[in-house]
Amino acid sequence: MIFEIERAALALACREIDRWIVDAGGGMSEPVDATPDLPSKGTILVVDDESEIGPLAQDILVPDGYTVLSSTDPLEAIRMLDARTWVPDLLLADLVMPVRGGPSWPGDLWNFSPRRRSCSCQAMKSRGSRRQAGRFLTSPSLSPLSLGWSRKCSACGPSHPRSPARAYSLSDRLQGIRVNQAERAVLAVLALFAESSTALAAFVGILGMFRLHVLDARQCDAESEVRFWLKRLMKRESFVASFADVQVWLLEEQSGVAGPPHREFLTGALSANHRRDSGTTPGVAATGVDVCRERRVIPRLGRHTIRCRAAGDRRRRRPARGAPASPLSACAGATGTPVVRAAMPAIMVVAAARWMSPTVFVYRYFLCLAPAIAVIMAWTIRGVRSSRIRLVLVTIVAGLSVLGMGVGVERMEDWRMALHAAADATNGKPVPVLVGATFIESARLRWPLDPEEAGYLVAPVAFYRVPGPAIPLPYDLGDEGAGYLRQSR
Amino acid sequence: MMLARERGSFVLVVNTHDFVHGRRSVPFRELLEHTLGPMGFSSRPIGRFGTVSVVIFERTSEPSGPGGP
Repeated sequence: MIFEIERAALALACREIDRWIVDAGGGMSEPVDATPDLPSKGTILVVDDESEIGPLAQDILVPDGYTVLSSTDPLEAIRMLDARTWVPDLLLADLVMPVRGGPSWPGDLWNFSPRRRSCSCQAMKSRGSRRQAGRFLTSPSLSPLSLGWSRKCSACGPSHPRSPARAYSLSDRLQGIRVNQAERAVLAVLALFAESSTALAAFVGILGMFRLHVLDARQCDAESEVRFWLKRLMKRESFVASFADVQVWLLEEQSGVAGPPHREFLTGALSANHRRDSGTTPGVAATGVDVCRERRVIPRLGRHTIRCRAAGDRRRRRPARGAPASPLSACAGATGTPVVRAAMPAIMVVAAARWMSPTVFVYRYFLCLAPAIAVIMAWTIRGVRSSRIRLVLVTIVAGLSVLGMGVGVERMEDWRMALHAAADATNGKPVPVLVGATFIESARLRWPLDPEEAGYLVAPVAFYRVPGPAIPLPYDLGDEGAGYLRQSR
Repeated sequence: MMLARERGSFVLVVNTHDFVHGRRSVPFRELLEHTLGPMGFSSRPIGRFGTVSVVIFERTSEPSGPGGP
C-alpha cells in the first residue's frame, strides 16, 4: 500500500516536472512547422536514438507539409506524450533503443499517449545488425523517408549501398495512382460515347486493357500493401512489414487521393484501434525490416501473396490454404479469387451463345454489348495479381475488340455505291436489277410475291438511281426459294 | 428468267452478309450461272461495296443445250 502511494506520488511529481520541462522547451526538439501559411497535414513523432534520424525525417517530411517532432530518448517521448495535449498522427519509433525497446516498447509508447485513439503508431527497426540494416536499405520498397535515410546513411560507410528503388519507388506509385484516377475518368467518358460506335468500343477495350496491364501492376501492389497492413492491424496481431507501409500511409495523405476504398480502410483500422484501446493491450502495428522474419510471417496471412522485398528477389509466396476469410476479401485487387471472377463474363458469354444461335448472339447482342463487356472484363481482370495471366487475358480481350471492330467495318452495306457501279456497268441501259437485301422477312415467300410488300424488300435501293426495275429476291434458296424461282419463271 | 431473255442482261445486287449465316459468297450467282449458262449468259463481277456485291449477267454467246430457245 505504501509502495502504491509512493508510486502514485512519484508519478505525479514526474508529471509536473515533465510538464515544466516541456513548457520550458528542454529536451525535446520543437515542432517544425511545414509552412507557416498553410495548415499542417499531420504531426509525426519520430523516436530514435540515432540523432540524425529526427532531423532527417524533418528534412524529408516538412517540405511535404508535415509537422515533425523528434526525440532520441524514449522516456522523453513517453513524457511528452503524457504531458502534451496534442496527439501525433503518426508515431515512428525505433524498436531497439538503449533504455526501452523490444517488441512491447511501441505498445508502451502508445499507452502513454493521452489521446491515442486517434493516433497511429509505427515502430521501425533502424538498428540491429549491420547485415539487417544493409538489407533494409537495399530494399526496393523504400519510402521517401527511407530513401532519404539511405542517402544519409550511405555517407556513414561503404556497406550501405544506394537505393535500388526502381520498381516500387514513391514516384512510381504516386504516378500510378494519379494516372489511374485520371484514366478512370477518361474511360468513363469514352464508355458513354462507345455505346454508338463499335470501333470506339474496341478502342475503349484496348485502352482499358492497356491501362490494366501497364499501370495496374504498380497500383495493385500498392493497394494490396495497404490492405495487407491494415488487415494485420485490424486483426490485432503483431506483424512485420516494411517501411513501404508507412510510405503508403504517407502517400495517401500527400497525394490527396485517399478516397474510397482507402479512406474506408483507414477509418476501419482506426475504429479497430478504438476497440482495442478499451482493453489492456493496445493495438500497435510494429514495423520491422527483417526480411527473413517477414517471409515466415507472410505465408500465415491468409489469401495474400506478396512480393518479397529483398533486393533482386522476385519470388512470390503462395498463401497457406484454409486461411480464414476476411471482411476485406470482398475488395478486388488483393484478395478473393480474381481468376474465377475474371472468367465469369466469358462463362456467361459461352452460356448465352449456347442458349441461342451463336451467330445471332454475336451479331445481335454481343457487338452491341461490347462496351459493357469491355468494362466488365477490365474490372475483373484488374483483380488478377499475376501479371502473366493478366497479359494473357488482356491479349484475348484486345483481340476480341479488334475482331469486333473488323466485323463492324465489314458489316457496312454501301448500297449507294453498289448501284452507282451497276449503273456504270450497264452504260445507262434499262436492265432489271435483282435485289437481295437479305431481310428476314424475305424468308417467307409471301413478302416477295406480294407486290405491295415486295416494295419493302427493295427498300435499300428505293432512294438511289436504279438502272431498271428492282426485283426482290428471297432470303435463300431453300425449298421455298426454288419454288419461288419456278413460279417466277 | 423471262426478263433475262427479253432484256439480254440484268444486274444482281445482293447483300452477302446477314446475322444468321454471317458472311457468305454471293447468293444466287451460282444458281443463275448454272441456269442461264446454257442460254449463253455469263456473269461478271462489278465490285464489292461493303457487304453488297454487284454482278452483271450478260449474254455473251449463242444459246446451246436444252435451255436454249
